[in-house]
Amino acid sequence: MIELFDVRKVFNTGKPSEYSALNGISLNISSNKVTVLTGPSGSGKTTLLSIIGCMSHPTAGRVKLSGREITSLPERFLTDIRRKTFGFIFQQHNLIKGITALENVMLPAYPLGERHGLLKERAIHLLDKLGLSHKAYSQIEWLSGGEAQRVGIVRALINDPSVIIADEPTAHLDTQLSRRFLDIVEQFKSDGKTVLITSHDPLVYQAGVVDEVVRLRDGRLEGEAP
Amino acid sequence: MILHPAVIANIIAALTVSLMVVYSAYYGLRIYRHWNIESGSELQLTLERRTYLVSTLLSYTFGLQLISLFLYVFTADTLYPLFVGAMCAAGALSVNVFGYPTLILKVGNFLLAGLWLVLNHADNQAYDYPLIRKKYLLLAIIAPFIVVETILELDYFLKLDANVITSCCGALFSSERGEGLGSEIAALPALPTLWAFYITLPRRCSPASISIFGEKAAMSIPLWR
Repeated sequence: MIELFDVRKVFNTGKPSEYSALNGISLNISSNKVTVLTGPSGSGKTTLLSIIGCMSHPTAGRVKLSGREITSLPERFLTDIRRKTFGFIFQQHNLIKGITALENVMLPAYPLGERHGLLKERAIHLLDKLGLSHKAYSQIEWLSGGEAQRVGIVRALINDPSVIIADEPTAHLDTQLSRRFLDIVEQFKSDGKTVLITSHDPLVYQAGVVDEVVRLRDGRLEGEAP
Repeated sequence: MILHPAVIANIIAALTVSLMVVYSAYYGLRIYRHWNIESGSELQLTLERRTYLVSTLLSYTFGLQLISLFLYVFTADTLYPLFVGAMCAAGALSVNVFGYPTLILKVGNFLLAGLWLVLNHADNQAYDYPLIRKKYLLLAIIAPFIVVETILELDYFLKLDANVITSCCGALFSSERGEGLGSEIAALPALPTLWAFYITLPRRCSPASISIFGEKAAMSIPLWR
């Protein structure tokens, strides 16, 4: 369970360019469910996602992860939480060019010091699960958009996280690939993982696999008074 | 002031530590007064980020403070040839009235800084900052001592005068200061003492006494070296 209490985020505080991205979001996100954060551009979806994923700190408010308060934690604890609890799937994939798909997948697990042989075996197994075993030794720049996205998904899974966070995962995919992504999400759900997606693609937030849709507008939950 | 690299290093270290500690103590007091881990207010979150900065800063600052004690003693020991009468750091520190008070404060601050580092390390092991108030209360106590130490240290180094005749450690720490055999012999009038010395000389140099005297002299050599 992820709980948010009156979360606010202000950028450039005290400057003329001050911008309030989140204005007091209180929310409960259930475990083992698929939740979609939706809303127009600038509504605060990605900001909220980055706060939940411990990638940024809120200006005010608290976030609890499985009952444990995480916003007050210093970076040395957050790194460990990020590494073991969250798997991130980015809109731009953020894969490292010049190395193979397999090396990209294994990269987030290196700091944990696992034996290389075991790690490689697991990475190949995960690539195989998403039909990418034949591309394991291909350079990232040789992959198609859909393949690159699936490599990004496998990379998010390498440390076996309990929460998968995906930021606009279908933004650069056609309908067929988007449906394939939703099939993978279904698989995550059946594996007992919590999935949190930001998207303004109706194909995603209207999909049957989605348990809850949270609508945001101007940094607030839709329907809440400003 | 004597422009010696060790003196300059001491002054820079003292000013850096003071500046950092005063800056940190200001935020430390804010943290001490307003800290409330239960709150999700903007102030609390700002303080949480600030304590991360302040404790990191202080870890290095107090590390420097620990080293500065040894640097100070090393500097005094390096400077003693510049002062007439000094034979080691003890003499160099008594060149003016600020040498020893600075040393005493440095030893005290060494212990306090060490205690703060231990507290900080223990506090950093837990998720919920259990020692944060105690840590910053201790910092508020340490800060004035650090500032006084810097003032005294600056006074000591800036008022070092090579014309001052100082004392060696044998004179400074002798238990016979003021009275005793050594001071009584030293206080004897010069002429009768000279006569007494030369009268007793033939007897001391007799064949029987030469070997004894020679052995004593040989035994005394390592002591004098």
